[in-house]
Amino acid sequence: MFKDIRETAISVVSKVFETMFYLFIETSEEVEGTEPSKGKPPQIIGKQGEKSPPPFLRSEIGFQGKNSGKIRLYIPYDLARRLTANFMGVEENELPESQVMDMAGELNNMLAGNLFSLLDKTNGYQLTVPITERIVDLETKDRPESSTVTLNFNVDNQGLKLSIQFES
Amino acid sequence: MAYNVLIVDDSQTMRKVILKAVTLSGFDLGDCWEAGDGREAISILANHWVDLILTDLHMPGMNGLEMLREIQKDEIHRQVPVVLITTEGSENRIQEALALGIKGYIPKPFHPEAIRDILTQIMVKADV
Repeated sequence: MFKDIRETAISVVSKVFETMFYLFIETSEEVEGTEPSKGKPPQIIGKQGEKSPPPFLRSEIGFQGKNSGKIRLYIPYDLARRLTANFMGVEENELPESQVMDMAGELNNMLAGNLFSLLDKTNGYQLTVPITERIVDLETKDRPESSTVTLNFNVDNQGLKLSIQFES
Repeated sequence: MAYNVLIVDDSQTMRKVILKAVTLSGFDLGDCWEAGDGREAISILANHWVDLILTDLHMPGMNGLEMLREIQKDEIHRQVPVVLITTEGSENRIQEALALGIKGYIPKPFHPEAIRDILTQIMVKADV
């Protein structure tokens, strides 16, 4: 099951970035998880193994359908700002932070919506409204007993992480 | 002839992007209003003439399907073409929206050309 989800998620992320931002995105380190992530702080790792510096934005969406859980997008703030400027066709210095946060939430919304529509093409999933926060530390919100698929990507020379935590 | 458009999406960023795509598509845009959810959209419809509605489905408060049901209750508003621009791709929900009278569906993410093509099709039919 996790292999299918991982492959579908990679395909969805590529499609969203290429279509909306005209950016090529590639996977870097991949971690397919059933092991608990307790005690192992998450990282965003780019193609060359470099670690993206804080701050980050974390956008979280709850999903409910055949399975339930949370999908979290972790994106370096600088990258989010560049993507927002690109998305809206404006200069970075014209952007209020609220718009950058909104874009990160909408990006996660597109990823989640596309991913879960593919995972259940007939009924789809119910999704919550994205909650986006600015964070300094990449602390994990994954519960030890949960099953999580975590993917690292590289875009525009920076790392980005998608974490899909299944609760049932 | 310029068309008045109502864009409904809970993301302000996405509303701006949709507006930009509509403008760049060459669509003959008159007045444009924005709403963050279905309830706000209904309120705008009550006070302004709208030729076309572009709406998401997933929104807090009144969502897209609930908004469509409300629109269907009004003889005048139900004539306004509605196009979905949404991440929702499940067959059942799209079928439900089609049964509530949507004229088109653009999946997110989208290329601006997709907006241009569908708007041209829909507004030509509406004029006829």
